[in-house]
Amino acid sequence: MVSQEAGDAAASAVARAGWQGTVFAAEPSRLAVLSLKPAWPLSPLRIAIHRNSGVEIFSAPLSRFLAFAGYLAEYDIGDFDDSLSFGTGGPDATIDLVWLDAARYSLSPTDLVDWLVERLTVRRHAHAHPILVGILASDSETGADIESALIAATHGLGGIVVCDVSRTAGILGPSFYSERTGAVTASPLSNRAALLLARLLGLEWLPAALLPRIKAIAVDLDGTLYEGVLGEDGPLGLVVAHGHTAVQASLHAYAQSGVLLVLTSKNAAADVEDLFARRTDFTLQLSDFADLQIGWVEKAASIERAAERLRIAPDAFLLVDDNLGEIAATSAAISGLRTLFAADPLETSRALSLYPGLVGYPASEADAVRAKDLATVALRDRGAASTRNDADYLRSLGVRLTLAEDPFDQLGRLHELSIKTNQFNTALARFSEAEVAQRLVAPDCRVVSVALADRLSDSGVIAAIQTRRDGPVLLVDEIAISCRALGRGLEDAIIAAALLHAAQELGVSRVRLVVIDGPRNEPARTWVEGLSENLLADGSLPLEILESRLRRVSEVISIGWTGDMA
Amino acid sequence: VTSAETEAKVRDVLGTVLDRSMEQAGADTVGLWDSLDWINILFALEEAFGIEFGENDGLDSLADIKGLVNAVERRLSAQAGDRAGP
Repeated sequence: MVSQEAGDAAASAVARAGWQGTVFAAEPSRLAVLSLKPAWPLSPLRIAIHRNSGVEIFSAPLSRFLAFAGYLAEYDIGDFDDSLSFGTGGPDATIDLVWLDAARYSLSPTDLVDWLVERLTVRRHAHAHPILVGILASDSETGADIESALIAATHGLGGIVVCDVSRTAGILGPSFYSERTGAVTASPLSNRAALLLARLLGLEWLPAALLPRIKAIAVDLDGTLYEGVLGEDGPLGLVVAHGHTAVQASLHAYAQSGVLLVLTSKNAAADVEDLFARRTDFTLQLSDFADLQIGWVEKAASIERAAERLRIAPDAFLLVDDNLGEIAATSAAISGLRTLFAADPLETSRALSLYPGLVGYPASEADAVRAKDLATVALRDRGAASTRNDADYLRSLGVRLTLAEDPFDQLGRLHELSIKTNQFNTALARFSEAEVAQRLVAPDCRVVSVALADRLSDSGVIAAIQTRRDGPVLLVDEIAISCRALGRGLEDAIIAAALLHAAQELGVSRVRLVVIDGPRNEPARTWVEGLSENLLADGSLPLEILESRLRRVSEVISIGWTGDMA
Repeated sequence: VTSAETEAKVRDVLGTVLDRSMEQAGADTVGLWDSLDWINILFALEEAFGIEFGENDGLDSLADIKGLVNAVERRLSAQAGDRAGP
């Protein structure tokens, strides 16, 4: 019997599929967008808007696009304010949107950027929530220059997202602006531009500032990557239309950028291998997939198996499938699964360039490293089985840990580890980028990052340890270790090395860990519980215990600090 | 297209934008929409009828369904004239 929750999830997935034709249309229609009514649960999203130009031209369509992304938009729209005094949006705002028409200023682009950075710095110091900035410039080239300069100048502030409005301005050219309706809308934008920007705000820019990135895409074959049925038409009888090529190119690009691709297909494995070997016109290659789930099992079981193998949660997947029944059934089985109904290849390719949680994120070198790293998982697992014990295994891997204290150049990755790690995260503090930036420079805080490499791969920065001095004790606000570093028995070395250094730097002799129970952080809690018999009466841990643990593993792995000579 | 058909379509558009039925709304009732709704009504009518309002359409003074229908018909007529040529 299907539970109420599972039934609701299936119904929501089907209802969202019904929106796709409107949401991902080549040219969105205001009338069609406004006719959409969400039939699934939404999370409130309070947007404080600081503007000198009308936003009402896109606020209603934006609500619908945000609903597709899972949000119920609540606007707190400030007065028209060229001075950007931030008179609206208190601490209850989820996010700020700064929306400015540059034509209202007599400043040069350089001076405008300098002034904006000063204003954004003031706002950043007042609130830690993300700030989106959209600038309407005189032309797309000027807009792109302003956006690039703003990105560079605000990087250190943390949590500032500059919308690439100039991309849409460049696509629309002269029709980006319209004087015809300016008196009614109080905005220089045309209806067409307003709809495209509403879609980017609702599907890309706002979700990218708020949602964890989708880590993997599960995609089927027949009807999604080509037209036809492999088992019936054979590999050479399948038709790859223009839209299918676009879908394959998009998936290939995601694989290159570090999103994990999983093939979930109800076919014979030999037929699938033969297909990719013989169809040289496929943009997508078998080597693009981090995992193959080929067989006659349900899609939910395939995704769960792939999730286990790739060490990510099943709800970090996007399922792309041309079978609405499969989408409904899989949504019912996997809570939180994102889905894309691949009814039409051209629409699917557009959806892949706009899907919330998939686009708008800064290029993450860590994700690309992760994808390559996962390809070595099987090799490493086989190695573990053939060596005599854990110490031998670690020694055979040639593990190297490289630690760094307060590494500001790793700000993005440190933030990412706090918000993305679920299994080994002691406190689930979910520090915003701005909060991490503040901790990196605070005299009473020490942030330690740990990078991991072995003879098989370079995993990059895999741990972030957030500490601060609390009297005579080192308070550990969060230990976040990427799941790709787990399962090798390295936790003692990673944590002990980082905490001993931070304790020495801050002149304390004991450590206290903040531990919060979360739905999936059992590995972290289990590790902490392993220390329980060594705790002092006040719940703190003497440094000697950490020193003892570090000694045990330091004989078989190499530990160094950034800047150390090899 | 008759005036009644135009009015029915205008009411449909209003119903979608305002998210309530406009079938029973009086043609000369004012106050059915606010300034935010008006922006959406303007562009939705343009999409529905394939027209573009101009600065001379007196958009600021359109306050009821009757006024909207007249403005749409004037614009449709003007565009038909433009297409017919001199």
